[in-house]
Amino acid sequence: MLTSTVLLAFALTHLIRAPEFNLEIQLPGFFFLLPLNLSAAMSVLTAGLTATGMDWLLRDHPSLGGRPTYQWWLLPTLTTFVIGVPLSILPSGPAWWVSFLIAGTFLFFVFVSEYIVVDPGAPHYAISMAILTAISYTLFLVLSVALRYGTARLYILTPGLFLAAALASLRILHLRSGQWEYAWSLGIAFVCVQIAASLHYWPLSPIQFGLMLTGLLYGLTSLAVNLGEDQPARRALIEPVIILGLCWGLAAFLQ
Amino acid sequence: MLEHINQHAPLEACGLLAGKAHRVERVLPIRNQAQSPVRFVMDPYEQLQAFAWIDSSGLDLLGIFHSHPAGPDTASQTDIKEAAYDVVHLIWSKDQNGWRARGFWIQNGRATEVSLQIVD
Repeated sequence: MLTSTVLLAFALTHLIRAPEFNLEIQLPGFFFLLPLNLSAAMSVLTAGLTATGMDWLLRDHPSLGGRPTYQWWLLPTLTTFVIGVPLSILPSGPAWWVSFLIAGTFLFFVFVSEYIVVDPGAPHYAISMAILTAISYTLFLVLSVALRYGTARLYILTPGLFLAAALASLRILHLRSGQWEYAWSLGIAFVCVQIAASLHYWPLSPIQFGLMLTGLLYGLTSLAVNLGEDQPARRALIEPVIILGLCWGLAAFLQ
Repeated sequence: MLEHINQHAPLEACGLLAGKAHRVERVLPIRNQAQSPVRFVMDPYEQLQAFAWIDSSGLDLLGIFHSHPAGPDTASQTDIKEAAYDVVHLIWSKDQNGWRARGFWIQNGRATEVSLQIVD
């Protein structure tokens, strides 16, 4: 029901034509332009709808045991917000409807997986954890590709990617260690944004840009997990370096 | 552009063109690090500063200009090979009547001429 409601909101946003205007402010040092339209408003509203919807679903979970629910609705909220970006950028046509179907599948799996991981003893706990980890990285890839495709300005790109990198790494690290690794997540997000800013003016295609940043996010998060498991530094570096090399190597060959 | 190009001739001069909706509003001259009559390499620091200025001014990169003081009046093989941004490449060349500019869209190893319009 929650998936259907969010998808209905996305579909209606796409079909309804509403007036839009740009908020333009000349601030000291830069020109701030924020498009105010139905898509932007609905992205925030659907993210809020997801958070409250997930909270409502989790309250009836038999294994919740009075724990706060926010850790299980962070990723679904981010998912809804992120998939709203390409859906608002893509023009009408088959590509939009294919993206819409993929978005629906993503949402469904995130909602179900988050519900399952509330109980560490659940039969599908391990697979749900793997799905949530994969979706976290995919969301970051989708967001970075969409922002690049939409030629977002640096002042929109950096906070957007910082938030996504911080939330994705925070959720992944919590799934792996059971701890809220705020320092690691903020550090990972900071490094990702620094690299994103330095790549911003390079003549990279959206997929090259997204792959380079997602490889970095994966590498740093994986390093944090390995070090958290008390692996020796050299061994902890092997997997992150291989993945980073693969992603950057692939990006170098793609156009 | 002409002032910048004349100032640096017989060396190649270069720079960026910024604006909105295919209309250039600002010319940003950049130092040619190569200091050559047949080649240009934008000074990376000045180029980065220009990109940051374009971004913070709410404008878009619309074109890259450079001069061919000794010809040709079209995009050279080096221009085609090294074109990285999907924008119009404005090439200034000199003949007996003075400087003239031609615009090219360089993509997939091919340069296609585009029409230029001067507006007030």
